[in-house]
Amino acid sequence: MRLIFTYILVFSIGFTALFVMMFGDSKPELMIVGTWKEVSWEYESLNRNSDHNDIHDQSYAEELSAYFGQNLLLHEDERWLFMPNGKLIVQTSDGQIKSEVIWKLKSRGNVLVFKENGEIKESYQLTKLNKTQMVLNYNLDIQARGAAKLTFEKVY
Amino acid sequence: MLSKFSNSRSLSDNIKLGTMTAFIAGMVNVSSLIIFFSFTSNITGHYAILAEEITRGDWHQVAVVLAWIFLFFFGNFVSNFIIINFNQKNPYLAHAAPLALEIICLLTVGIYGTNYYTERLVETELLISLLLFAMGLQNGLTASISNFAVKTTHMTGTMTDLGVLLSMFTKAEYRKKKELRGRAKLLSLIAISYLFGGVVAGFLNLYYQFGVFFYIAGVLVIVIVYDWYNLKVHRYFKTGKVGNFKKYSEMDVLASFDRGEA
Repeated sequence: MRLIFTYILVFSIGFTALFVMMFGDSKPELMIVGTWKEVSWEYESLNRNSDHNDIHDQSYAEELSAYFGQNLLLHEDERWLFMPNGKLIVQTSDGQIKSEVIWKLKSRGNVLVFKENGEIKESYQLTKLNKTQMVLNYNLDIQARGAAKLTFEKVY
Repeated sequence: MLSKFSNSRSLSDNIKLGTMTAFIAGMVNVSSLIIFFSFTSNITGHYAILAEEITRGDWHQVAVVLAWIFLFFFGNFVSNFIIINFNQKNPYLAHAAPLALEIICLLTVGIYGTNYYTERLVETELLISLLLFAMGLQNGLTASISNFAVKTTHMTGTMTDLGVLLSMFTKAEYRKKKELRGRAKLLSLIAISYLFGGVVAGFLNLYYQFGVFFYIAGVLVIVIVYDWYNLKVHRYFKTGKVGNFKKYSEMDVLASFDRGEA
């Protein structure tokens, strides 16, 4: 009897989780849609004080690129418009369209990738996402969070 | 490679089984990492993520990770369930059936990914689920028929055993033991094969993306056909008789557990 109960319990938990995964509506894919305003940049891994304005420093950008071995794309004071059709419009603070890419969520919704012409242009760890705030970490490695941390607040 | 069971397996049988399946696991893991940004041949990391999500109270994410862990577990369950229930009727089919199911899973991922995948999150989560189930099937099969000597979908246990063995080989008394040398050889080849599979998948992904899963399924077909050839056709040409597979009872399986070789 106890054995049967154990089997029922284990399989119930497993299949319930599967059902929630397939039909649950708390999807980051829905929550991310809207307009987000970038409110801060932070650098977590480099031995340097965090400072939002550092991003304007070309030598620092080069230092970051050298450190990560690739070209780090820089975002500053932008608005990101996540459209439901998978398009992302990046606007500057004065409303000019800076770029348009395709956004996709990968893994279990914790990886945000931007694609252009079918190629991945940028990828971020989506470390926090709720109705008011989104935190992204530049994706360096699947098991490590990036050095650049971008925080956004939802505008609408 | 597949049809022999438990203690009747030689080192050579385990090496063939281990290297082929480790190669497949390496390919699957790297392909899913490139395409889905998620590991699918092991679940240690998923346990860490599950704990993190429970702490954060994100219950939808908890469900997703729990479902993935469950499917890996369920793959192992199904694999061994088939083996212990059908061994007496047809050992070859009992051992080949989990691989056939794995092939179906991989082909489903390949066909869906190539033709219908729109990169929606639910699709990604379901395809990852299928791959985890497939890897569970494979791991359950190899562990079960090899007396737990061969586990090829993750490297943590392999590296642990290899580290322990190499430290033992610092003493002459252990170096002389043929069984231990054989085990070290098996584990080394599994690790190399897993890595090689990953590298091959990395290159193939540059050109074929989801098409890689067709190649992986092809390798599995080779495993099944090789064994069938070896035990039926090869024996027929050698003896003029159709070869029979040795039948194993449920007791053989249970005995392998009882011997504590897990």
